[in-house]
Amino acid sequence: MSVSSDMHNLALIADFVTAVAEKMSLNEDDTFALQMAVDEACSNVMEHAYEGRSDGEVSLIIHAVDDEIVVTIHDRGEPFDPQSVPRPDISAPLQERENGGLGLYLMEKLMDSVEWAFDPQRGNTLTMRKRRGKPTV
Amino acid sequence: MESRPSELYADVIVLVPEGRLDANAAPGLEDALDGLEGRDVTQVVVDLHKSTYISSSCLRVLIVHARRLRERGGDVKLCCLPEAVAKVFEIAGLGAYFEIAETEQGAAQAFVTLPADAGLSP
Repeated sequence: MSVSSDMHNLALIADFVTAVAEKMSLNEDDTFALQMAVDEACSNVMEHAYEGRSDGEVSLIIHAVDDEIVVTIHDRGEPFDPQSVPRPDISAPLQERENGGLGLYLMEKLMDSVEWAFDPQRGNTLTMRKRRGKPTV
Repeated sequence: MESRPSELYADVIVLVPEGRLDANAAPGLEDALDGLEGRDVTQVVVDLHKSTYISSSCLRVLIVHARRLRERGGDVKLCCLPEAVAKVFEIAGLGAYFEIAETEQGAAQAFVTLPADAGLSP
């Protein structure tokens, strides 16, 4: 699917992910992981790559390769460097935690792999993979 | 966003966000908490029973406000988390940092109950 980078579209994206998860007969845990990782990734694109502008394009492809779920998210916003975002120290007391990085932390925790690539012509491409669990009967 | 005094203690204000608490909902949640802070409310319960999901953007809003209110002797406490929302707190490692009650009354009560190690022993 392809939507504009308007934050209101996060709900549409969530509906799309739910439909795909049902079609793939994903179990509850995989569906939850996919929902949350995609929501965090697309929010990140809208907030950072497009810097809050709503006229950018976010495209999302979810497919199954063997026993893996592969998510590809593409945008033409500012280059994203994941190394520039510190991950939160979740063992630190709340008073001492940094505010940022929680979204990336969740994506990396929920999926098996999360990789970004930037091409000056094509923009940012995020690929997330997760080995699927046993389908819901 | 619904906000009202708790049934038990009028000083504790209960905020009830609804639906998907994604990045699109974060400014609304922030405005509601800022509004309470502007009225000098330091004891806040966020009742999540009408929420279906919470993302890092809204978690961040809750963390920032809890931190600010704790510096003023108050807190943001949470209650009535649906399973999907509770799971996010667990994965984010925030379960131990927020006081999370099963009921609104339990969360409000926690503002007036001294911790067991409050040093009252002789």
